[in-house]
Amino acid sequence: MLGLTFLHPWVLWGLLAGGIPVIIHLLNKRRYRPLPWAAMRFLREAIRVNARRMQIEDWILLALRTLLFLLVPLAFALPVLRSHAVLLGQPQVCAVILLDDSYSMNYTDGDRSRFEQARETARDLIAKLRRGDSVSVILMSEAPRRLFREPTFDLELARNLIGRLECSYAASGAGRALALAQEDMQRARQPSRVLYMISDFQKGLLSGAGVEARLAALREQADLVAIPIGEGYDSNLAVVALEPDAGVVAAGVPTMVHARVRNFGQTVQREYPVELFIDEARRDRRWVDVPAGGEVDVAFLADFREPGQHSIEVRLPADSLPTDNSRYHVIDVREKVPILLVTGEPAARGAVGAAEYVGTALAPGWLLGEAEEDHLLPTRIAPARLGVETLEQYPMIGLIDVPALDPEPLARLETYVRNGGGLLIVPGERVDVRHYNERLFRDGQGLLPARFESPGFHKEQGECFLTPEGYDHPVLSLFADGSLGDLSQIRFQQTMLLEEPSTARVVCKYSTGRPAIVERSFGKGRVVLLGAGLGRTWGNLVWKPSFLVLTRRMTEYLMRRESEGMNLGMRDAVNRFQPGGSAALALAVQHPRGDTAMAELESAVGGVFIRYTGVDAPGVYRLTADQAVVGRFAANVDPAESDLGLPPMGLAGGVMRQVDAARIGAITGPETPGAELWMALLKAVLILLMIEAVFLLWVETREKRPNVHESA
Amino acid sequence: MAERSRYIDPEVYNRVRQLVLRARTIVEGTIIGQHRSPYHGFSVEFRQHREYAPGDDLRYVDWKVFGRTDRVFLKQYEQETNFIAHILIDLSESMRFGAAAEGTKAEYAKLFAATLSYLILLQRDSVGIGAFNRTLAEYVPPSANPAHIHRICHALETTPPAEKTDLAAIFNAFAQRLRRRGVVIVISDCFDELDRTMKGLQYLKYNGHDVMLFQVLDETEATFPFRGLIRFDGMEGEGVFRTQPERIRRSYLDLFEGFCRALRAGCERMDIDYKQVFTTRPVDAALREFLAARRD
Repeated sequence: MLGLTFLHPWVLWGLLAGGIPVIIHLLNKRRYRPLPWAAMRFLREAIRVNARRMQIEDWILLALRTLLFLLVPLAFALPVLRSHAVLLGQPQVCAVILLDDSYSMNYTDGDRSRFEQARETARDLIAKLRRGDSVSVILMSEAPRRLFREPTFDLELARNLIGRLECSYAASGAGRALALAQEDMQRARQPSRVLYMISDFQKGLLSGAGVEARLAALREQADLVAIPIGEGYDSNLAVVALEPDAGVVAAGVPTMVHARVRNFGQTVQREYPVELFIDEARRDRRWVDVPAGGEVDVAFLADFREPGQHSIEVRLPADSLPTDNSRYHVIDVREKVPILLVTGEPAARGAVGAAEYVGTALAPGWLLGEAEEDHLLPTRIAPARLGVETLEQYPMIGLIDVPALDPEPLARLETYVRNGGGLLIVPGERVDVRHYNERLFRDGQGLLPARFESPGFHKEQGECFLTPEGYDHPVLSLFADGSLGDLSQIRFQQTMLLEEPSTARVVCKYSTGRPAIVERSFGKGRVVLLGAGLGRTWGNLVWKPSFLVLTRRMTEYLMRRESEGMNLGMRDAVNRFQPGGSAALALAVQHPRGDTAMAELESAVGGVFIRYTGVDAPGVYRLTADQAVVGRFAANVDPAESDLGLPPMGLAGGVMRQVDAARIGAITGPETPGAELWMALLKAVLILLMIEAVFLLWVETREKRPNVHESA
Repeated sequence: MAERSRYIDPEVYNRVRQLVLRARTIVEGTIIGQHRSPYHGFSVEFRQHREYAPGDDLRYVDWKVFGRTDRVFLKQYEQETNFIAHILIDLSESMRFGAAAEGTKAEYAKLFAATLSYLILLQRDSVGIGAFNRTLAEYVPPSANPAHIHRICHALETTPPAEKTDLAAIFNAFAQRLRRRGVVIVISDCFDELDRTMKGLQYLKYNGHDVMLFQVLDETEATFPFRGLIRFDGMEGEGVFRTQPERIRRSYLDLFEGFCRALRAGCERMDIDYKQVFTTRPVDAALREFLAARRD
């Protein structure tokens, strides 16, 4: 089979018009004009002599006209002959070029980055197109975009624009890029279509959801050509994670900063230097061994002397892909970190309740009125005041033995957590279990991580102690080596009956098997629920040293989210609340490369929302007002892009044919060119029309003359 | 007073009254040697003697020769005498054809016959008319009475064209009817077998008549100008034929013209005056042309 296809197959219904000449021929039999005639002897003889000739001519004319009526719809259906033999010359082509500008293309081979090579390859491809061909260029990084709104015939402009492109810092967005390519293919006017994908084809490029299906769909419409840039890589190390222990720290209080370094190469890296920078000043350096294909955790102790937002950077030595050698983090350092404790216990001088236990664990001098040395500053309020407090100023709120919450304070609390706040729920004997289940749990939609089982409180009959199933969770990580206490020494006489949660995580269980500490995410924030109250009637938790560590770790864990509004990915939009700010303030954003743009500000209760969409490079962005830095946020690349290894199944699982970039000159167009037949068919129609006209003239003159006997 | 016949056209008659139709052969007039009045007959020329046979008219005895020889001889004269003309008009179905605004061939033939009759009567000659198709449908015996024209016209008016014809049979039958040699004028389209037509004319000629043939045709029959899809319906039951005339025109014309040439040639061989007349040609003009070309 020649592989004949039609671009507009619905036009083939016009082939039914091929019956028109036959119908006209049949209808004409009824349209003879009657004429009485006297000289029939001569007429009869003349007809007899010419009958056979006329019949043959009629058949020829009928065939010609039927063929004409068949060829016209065939031509307008735009037939394309897909065969290895180009029968009618090179067809016009629509070339869609997917150019990978994700940051892995910054990998340098020699003196040129792979993106520079890819750019050159794209320009060479366009140079091979001919007039009448069109080209579309789509950049493949996250949030893919076209250079032109639709395929353009201005090949020179396309080459020029490609020449001015810069590699991005984003990861690849192949799925969406292929979707754009599909749209361009459908808009193409040429029957021959080719998709060129110019990329390093690193492991994660085509692994997204839907990519395989899109490639298969494109394969039906176009020839798919993969042009890999670069051949493997020597090594690549990257900082793939950077996180302090706490999102909010107090000035002068050291905090651990954890960096994870991964080796994507094939050889172990020994004595590899890893540096810590705080506010662009180097503070520490470690030498680590990073196994081939593995990673290592590097912990630094960071000390922030002044309150404010500070930047943290962990940096590796430059290698062939420098983009992932640094990772940034902005941390909020406060003079004091306010903690709000909402308690249902009546405030009585000298009384020590659960709120006091928690407050003292966080700030030992709090009860004594000597909180100057404490960096955490607890504030105790009754539930009735929840409606008037500005919750956003507290990185964490404790809900301690609160019987119930009115709808409005509950709504404010949910908003607070949803926007990134942390909530610690400590039950007590005052807790209205039914209210908590109905209003705070709400079938898993509310703040409460787990539902209370009836009757709520449970007197343990035998021994009941904490049984961690592992120490991976940040809350329990410090207890792993046992130096900070044995959690199994914490005994409980009374606990809260919690159902096994389906939408939350169990951090720790009791020895009875029931959940003891449960945590869940709620919007941008987190909620931790203790499965027991605090105090003598509940157990010995508050008297164990581990209580201090446990309480602090839970607090730090809950405060971790505070910093997420300040730490973003590529092309993330900034939308963060700044307490105390004013929309009248002119706030500028200083980009890591130095240029400045104004931020959008929107007034809110107690502050202002800051909005900015120019995050397109890694580094620390500074918020300035009147030349003074009033805030910071950090942006980092997606570490998935750092894995430069080729996918195990080869380029797109064999859907695409591969062409070496060095052999671009050998690319002449689609492997299976679609020869456009419609022009040839229309020419055939014109020729047939001329033949028909000439034949008609010939028919009228080409009459057989009878033998006439003139003798009587 | 009876309504005037449409075949009496004063304008036409006025144009033909100067014309003269003469018999080219020896015909027997109504009067042979009968000179009842100077308005009958014409000058007489002695031609020869023949011996008297019992029963001959004694008025023609040449007494001078008898006186000399004692033998009785009659004088024979070659004289211009009034002749008897018989007009045979074809009123078969084919004569009903007429594409011209002038009307059908039959109408033209009738007018032609009437005009010719008028001319003959004007000459003091006798004329009769026979209209035929398959048979002799109508016959008006000859008369020299000028009022005879009315009778002739009435016969023409009341005889419509119909049926087929067999010229040979008609001519033969008519030839047997004629007792005296005269002038026979045939007005027909002659759309019959040529052999049979010539045979029929031969019958007439055989009996010594001065025969004239006027072939009346419609112009379209001679030019065949039709185009498009035409269904030709035979007027004499020949059937129906569908065709595109332009595709067989040349063949038709060859056949038609060949026929007419053969007819003319046949008439020439038999010393029959032949004239092809189209219905678009005015009758008087056609007659004038014919008489001018006719050999004495």
